[in-house]
Amino acid sequence: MGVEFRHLLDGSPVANYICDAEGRLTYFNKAAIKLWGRTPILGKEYWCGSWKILYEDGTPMPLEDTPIARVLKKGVEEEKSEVRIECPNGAYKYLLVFPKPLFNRNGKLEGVQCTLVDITEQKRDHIKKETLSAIVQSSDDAIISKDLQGIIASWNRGAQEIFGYSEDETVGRSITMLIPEERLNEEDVILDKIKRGIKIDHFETIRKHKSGRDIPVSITVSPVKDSGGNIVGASKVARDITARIESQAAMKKYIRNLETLNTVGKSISENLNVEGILQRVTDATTNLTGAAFGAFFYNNSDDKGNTFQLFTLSGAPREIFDHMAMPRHTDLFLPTFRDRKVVRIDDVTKHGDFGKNAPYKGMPKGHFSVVSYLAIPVISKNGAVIGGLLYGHPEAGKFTAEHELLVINIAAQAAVSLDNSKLFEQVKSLSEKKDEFIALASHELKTPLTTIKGYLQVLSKKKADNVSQLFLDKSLCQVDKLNTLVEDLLNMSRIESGQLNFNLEVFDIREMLKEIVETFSYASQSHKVTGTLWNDSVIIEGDKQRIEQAILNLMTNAIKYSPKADEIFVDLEVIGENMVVKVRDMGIGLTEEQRRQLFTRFYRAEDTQGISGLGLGLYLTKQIIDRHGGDIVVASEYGMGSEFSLILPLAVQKLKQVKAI
Amino acid sequence: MKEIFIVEDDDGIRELLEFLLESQEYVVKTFPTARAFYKTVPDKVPDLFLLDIMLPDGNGVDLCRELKNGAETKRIPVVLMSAHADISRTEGADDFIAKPFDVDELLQRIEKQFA
Repeated sequence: MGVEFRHLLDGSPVANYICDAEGRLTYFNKAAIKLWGRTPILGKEYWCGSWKILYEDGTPMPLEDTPIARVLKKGVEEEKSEVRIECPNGAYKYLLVFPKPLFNRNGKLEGVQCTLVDITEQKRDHIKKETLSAIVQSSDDAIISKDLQGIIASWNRGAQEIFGYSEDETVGRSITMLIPEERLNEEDVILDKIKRGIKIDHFETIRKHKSGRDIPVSITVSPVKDSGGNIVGASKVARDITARIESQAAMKKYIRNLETLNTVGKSISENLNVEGILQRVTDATTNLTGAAFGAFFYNNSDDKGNTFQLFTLSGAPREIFDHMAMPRHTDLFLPTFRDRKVVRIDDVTKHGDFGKNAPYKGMPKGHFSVVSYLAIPVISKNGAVIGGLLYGHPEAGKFTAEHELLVINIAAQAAVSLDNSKLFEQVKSLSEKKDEFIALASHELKTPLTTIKGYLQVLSKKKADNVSQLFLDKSLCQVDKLNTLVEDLLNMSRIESGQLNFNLEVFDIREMLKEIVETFSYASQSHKVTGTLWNDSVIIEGDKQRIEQAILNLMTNAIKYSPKADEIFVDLEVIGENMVVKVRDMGIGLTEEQRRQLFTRFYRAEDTQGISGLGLGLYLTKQIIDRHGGDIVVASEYGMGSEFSLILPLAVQKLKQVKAI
Repeated sequence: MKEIFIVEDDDGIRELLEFLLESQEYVVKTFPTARAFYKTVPDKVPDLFLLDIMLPDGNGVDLCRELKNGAETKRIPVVLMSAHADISRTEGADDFIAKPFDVDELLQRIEKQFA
């Protein structure tokens, strides 16, 4: 090879190398070193200077199959071929190889001159484009590109799936073909933003399918720039969000239904009034099912096929039923009211049993139109059908299995509430009867007591022998006791029914206690009553008679439950803004359990045989004191005695007024 | 001598009252029902009315109201009696006595009306 030629190759930016006839490397230029990423050893390496040589697909290429080896073997020039090489640093490169046989003057093959062109860049671009195209084509999302006038430039398979148009039908046409008329202005807004280089991210809107159907989509539109950085168009990715919207709507509906169930359930279980429960249930279920009207009918008809009684109505004025026949024992209604069956019919006029029943043969004239029909029985705990919830709609197929399930649930809750309400009514009426009876009985008992007491008093005024006088006094005492018992019963019933009235007045409780202690000391033969009263007047506001009754109860008890003692103590003190009356005995005392139950109605301690009483005294005392804003505190040790502290607020303000007067 | 009209349906109490008041030198006339009472009143009027509240054919409170509205009777004291010790229901009457009453107290209260 001539020196000049070699010079030429040395300075060439194109990689060149030469092998001799045996394939030994005899020359390579700097560009070749750069390309290979290494410097081969001249005369020692064969055919190729690269570290590794591979076929295009990446499999290793045996050296005897390299383009140069082939040319040397055949002695003829070859077309360019493409190979891949690996450099020592691991980088891959794609090369075009131009091997050229070199002959001497005698025409004998002397070697091969080989030119290598690095096409890695182009190759990679090509691969990238192919990959991108494959990705675009395989995407389920619609990927569309358009120019700044909105003319569609490309259209992928996803776009075809979502919008129904093929590529041929869309490319070259305006994107507005996909936009519903009322949303056309959206495109102006989108293009305006794109022109200003602004990306539109996840914009949820409606687009049109080829069939004209609306498709909810989420679209992302990005500006597309040319190599000079100018915005030349836009790429648009649209995702069909029908499924998501539907599941969101379903979820919302589900949540709403749950909320309604919850509120209805709560409100009906809080309600003890039958009409309230049923109206609430009828309204809520009519609303939930989307019925044109809903009604609850009582199952109170007789077996002769008379009508069921309309109780509550929702969605229609009640007058509409005034001149209309009520549901009767027809094949349509009977399954619900007799057999506890849920009946749901998409079109009642096509139903087998419809129109067969005389006299109306279908719906009576003037009946509002019912096509969709749903009937759900409300079943009591004992299995009886209380009634039926009936729903109607003038269009067919309005009620679904879901509606059915919802109403069944609510009907079950309503049944429980109705059962409770019935029980409550019964208890209330029993309790009212009891109060009436007690009021009547106490009046009737007091009438003969009045006569007995009167004559006994008349007799005790006459001069009588000592024994007679003693017996008369004992009889009078028993009459008073009997009267107190009757009075206690009456008061208890008044407290129960909230009819215990107070006559409030401001008075000095110290004066009252003085009198009580005096009377008691005089009357009680068994016990001495020791009073330690506050050294000033103690003014409170209350019902004098009832407070006196409360204190007398405590003192009577103290004597009654300390049969072996001979003294009880009554103290009056002022502590802060309250006055405290303490009644203390040295009697049998109370256990912890007894102390807890003490103020319960009709409660009597177990070991009080031989001590009379109804068990109403402390209950009444506590009720009276509670209703005066006071309290009773018990301290007791079993076997050692008890101390009852009766606490009432002082009438501080009232006292000042009284003093001022 | 003061005259007292008593309306009381219970025979026992009526006889007791009659005995008690007559022994105090009052002139006593008794009526078992409201109807019987109206046969006499207001043609004849006493110096005091003693009325039971619960009557088989009426109510002492209503009777009292009518007496207090009647020209011939409005100045005559009315004392009500009842085994229902609800004093709040006696507005309009001059006094109220709860049954069973204390004999001395009853007589004192009646006497007080003439003081």
